[in-house]
Amino acid sequence: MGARQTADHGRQESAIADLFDREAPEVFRYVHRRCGDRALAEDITQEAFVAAVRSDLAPGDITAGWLIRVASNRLIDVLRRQTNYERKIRLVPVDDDLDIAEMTTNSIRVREALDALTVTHRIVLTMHYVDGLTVAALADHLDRSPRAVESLITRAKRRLRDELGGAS
Amino acid sequence: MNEPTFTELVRQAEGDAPTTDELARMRRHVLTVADRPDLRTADIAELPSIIPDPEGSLMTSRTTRLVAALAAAVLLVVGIVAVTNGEDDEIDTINPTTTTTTTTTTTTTTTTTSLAPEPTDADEEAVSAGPLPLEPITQVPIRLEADQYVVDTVGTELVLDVGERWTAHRNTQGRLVLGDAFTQGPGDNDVVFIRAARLIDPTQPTRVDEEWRYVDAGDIDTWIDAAVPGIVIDDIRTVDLNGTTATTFDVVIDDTRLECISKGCIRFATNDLTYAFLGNADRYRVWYVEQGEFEPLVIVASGDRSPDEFLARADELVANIELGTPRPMPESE
Repeated sequence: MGARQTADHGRQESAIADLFDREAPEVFRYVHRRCGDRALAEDITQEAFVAAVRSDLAPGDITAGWLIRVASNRLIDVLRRQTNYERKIRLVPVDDDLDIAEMTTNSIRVREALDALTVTHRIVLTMHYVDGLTVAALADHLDRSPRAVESLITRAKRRLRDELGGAS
Repeated sequence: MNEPTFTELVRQAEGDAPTTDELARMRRHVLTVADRPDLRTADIAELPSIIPDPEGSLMTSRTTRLVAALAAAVLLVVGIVAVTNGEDDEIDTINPTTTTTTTTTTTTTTTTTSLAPEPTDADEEAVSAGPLPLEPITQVPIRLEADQYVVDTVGTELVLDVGERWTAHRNTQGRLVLGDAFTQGPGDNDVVFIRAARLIDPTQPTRVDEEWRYVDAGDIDTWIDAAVPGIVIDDIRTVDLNGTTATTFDVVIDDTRLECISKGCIRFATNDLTYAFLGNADRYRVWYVEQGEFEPLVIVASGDRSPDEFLARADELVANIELGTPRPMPESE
């Protein structure tokens, strides 16, 4: 490697390091909020930055939004794999008669209940209710029917309700 | 006190900051990849879980990406492209063929293989002069080189003059989506092209008894006149799209007047397979293009972060569209 190449390489690595130091905490928090799993959040955050390294974009052109989009897509990928697996092992009847009024508004209990959800349930709930991904959009991403996604959301809501009830 | 909604409940989920150890581990791994050119290129077989494309898109299977990378290599060596995105049932519409295309400028990502070369009888002049066919996309958004593309996903053939910073998203089910290169998801700085079999009932645009109610899509003026106050419409104009007349208007959904249960507040237009939504709080620009005896073409651009800038780009994109002879909307994928 020539001197110029070495210098370019060093600048690139330094720019990547700067990008990581600047954006990694936000990307990690974004992922962790949605999946509630530290190890998964670490993996996905790391992969977002590796995608940045491997992209054609200069590190200076990569924004937190870009990284978060990569991370978001990885979360969808996790969700898709997990739901495909669940589809093979069980069929759960859907009961959509959920009474939100029975749920507590105590924020600590709600967070504990959210933390107790499986990664799948937490991701589908946060993507649906926080990110605003519609049932149809999730169905698109997951290659599932809208009814199957609605069923998944219902199961996740019921689980959250159960967790809230159990915390009392 | 009002009952909490599920949205309010779930939004209480919080994300923790990474610990020092976690940051150090991630940083070490990222810089290792940055330091090793062999890991930075398309070594997909060894790093199947890593997203190689600059859009950081949804994962395709490891096999699909490997095949795509191999296809890119073949393209360079022999000038022959085999379109191998793993969606066998859609390859018919791509028309892969022998060519001397110059479209593939990067071979280290898999995304560029999704741009099929010009299908001609190997006339090199014709290759450089004509638009590129835009292959159906089901999962992986692709970054588009600035160029001219032809697409027939929505039935009627469209020739699009695509400038810088555009990405092609979902391009099946009678719908085409082009997004800003840095879009963060559905409805965020993108342009949706869809044939409208029906439009949402303008007098009851949100769900009634869990059902969406639609009206015939054939008369946009009546639809605009009947819209409830929560659908705020302005700047209604007639425009010329390269010789085709269209009605355009801007829409903002006022969620103080409509009960929006998610960002996709109303399902504005549907082709009975999928739909284009209008979300609350964002600004949308709609183009309605009659298609003779067939279902109208509806184009919806959304701009939510820098709406004026994005809608200006969408304006430019749409103004330069060349529409082919009206054809019926596709019945299915």
